[in-house]
Amino acid sequence: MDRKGGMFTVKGLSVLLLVMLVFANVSAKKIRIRKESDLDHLCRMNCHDLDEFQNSRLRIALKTSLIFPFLMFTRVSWSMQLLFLGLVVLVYRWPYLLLKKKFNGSIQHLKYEFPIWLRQLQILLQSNTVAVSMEISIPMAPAMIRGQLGELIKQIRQEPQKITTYTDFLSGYRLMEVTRAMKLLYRYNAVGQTDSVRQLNRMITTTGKWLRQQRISDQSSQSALFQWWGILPLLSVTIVFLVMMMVTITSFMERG
Amino acid sequence: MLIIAVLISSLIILLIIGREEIHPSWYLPKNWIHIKKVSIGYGLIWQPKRQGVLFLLISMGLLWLSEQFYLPALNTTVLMIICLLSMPIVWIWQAQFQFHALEFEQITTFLQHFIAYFKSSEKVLLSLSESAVYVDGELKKSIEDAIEHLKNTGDTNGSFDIITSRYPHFIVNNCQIWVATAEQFGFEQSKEAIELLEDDIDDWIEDTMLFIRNRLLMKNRILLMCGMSAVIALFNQNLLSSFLDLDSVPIYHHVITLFLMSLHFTILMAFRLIKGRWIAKGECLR
Repeated sequence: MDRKGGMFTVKGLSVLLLVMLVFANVSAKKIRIRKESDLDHLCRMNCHDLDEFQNSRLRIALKTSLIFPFLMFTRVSWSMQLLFLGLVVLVYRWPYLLLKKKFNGSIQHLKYEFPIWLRQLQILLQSNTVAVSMEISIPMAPAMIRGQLGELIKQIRQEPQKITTYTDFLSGYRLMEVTRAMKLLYRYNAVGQTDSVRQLNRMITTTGKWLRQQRISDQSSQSALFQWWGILPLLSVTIVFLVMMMVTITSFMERG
Repeated sequence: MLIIAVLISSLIILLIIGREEIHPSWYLPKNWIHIKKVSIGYGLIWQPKRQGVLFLLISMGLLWLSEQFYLPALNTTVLMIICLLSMPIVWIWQAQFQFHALEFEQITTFLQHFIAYFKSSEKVLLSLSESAVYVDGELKKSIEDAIEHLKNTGDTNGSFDIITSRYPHFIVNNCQIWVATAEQFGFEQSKEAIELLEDDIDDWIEDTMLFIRNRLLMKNRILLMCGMSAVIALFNQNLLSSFLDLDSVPIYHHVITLFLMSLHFTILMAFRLIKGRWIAKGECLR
């Protein structure tokens, strides 16, 4: 083994030892790695324990970083080592990105389901109070809403005049449309009978528009991917054209 | 060779049928009558005999294209086999399109007629019996079961449950809520809800029809692109054949075969566009 090779071995071994040492004492609390600003919120919404989540992804990232000593043994270039460093960072960020994707998916889902539930409620409100309508709607409510509906009804029964009872409902998803609809429901419940019908009609108009918008946007997103298939024949004919050009040039060159 | 092709084709068909929620009996000849019923209005005709003729025409067109592109017999055979394998798939996708169209048409027709009858008679049993005349197939069976249940038990909600379990769309569900409310508190109390329901049904039909029309347009645009690409490739080949002997250039044959396969794949994808559900899963409650 030459001197340079020896140096790499020593360097590699020291990194290996360091990684093993860190790995043995791994804890998100001990190693303070900057976490994403919305991670607390994402963990809460997806029912994950924050510490457990951080420890788990740190452990996986450290396991991946075990590749570094081997890279040094095999004298991989610095650019490749940087690439692998990027890979480790990606491995660390990946669970967060998945969590975020799941949360965004839930928001899209809720955007579709909420107006559907609101429509049910509006029909029930024709002959029931807000709390009773909500109670009747529980078995038929979309799954995402059903979970929090029981708590909302309980709170409305306890504090019907408190606006936060309504605005706190599904507030974790931070949807303006939901907050607006819940405020309208509060006004419908709290404001006197003379004004309430007007309030309800206003909400009905808004929900109708919202429902259609969601339906159309869902249909458009379904079609958007398929539109790209139209490019495939044009792409293929371009390749055919290029190959033909190559064949022609080669044939001319062969002929001299 | 032909036996292997038939076996692979059968396997693909079984996989496609198995993955869908449509009952396999839908594809049996006894159900073709339902498929034909809704076919004309949506620009697609599902008639096995016509499809057979279409298949022959496509095969002849492919043979002509192969000859134009100087393809050897082996490449032409490969293309013909792929065409043979995919024709039944297109048939199945068209049948699925018809199934979803029929399902949508049936449920919207039922809802519109049921609401109209209930508005005038205010009687659930009578409205169900009258509206059952306008539908057939699975929905008719569900309505008949609901009528039977209502006659035996007098439970409106329970009888409507039979329909909503088969069609769990939120509008069907709202209709159930509305009927139950009207029965409990009187018809006058729920008059405004009827307008809501009718508006929702109208919007639903309008949006879905627009979506389907767009999809059919998209399908036709993709097919047009395929045609245009084939014409461009033919022009190219005409230019090249004047100073090259294309019969003896193997790479050219392979590239053209791949090109025709990509066209074929795109045509398949264009037909796949129309096979989806008309009643969006996101709007169903179960």
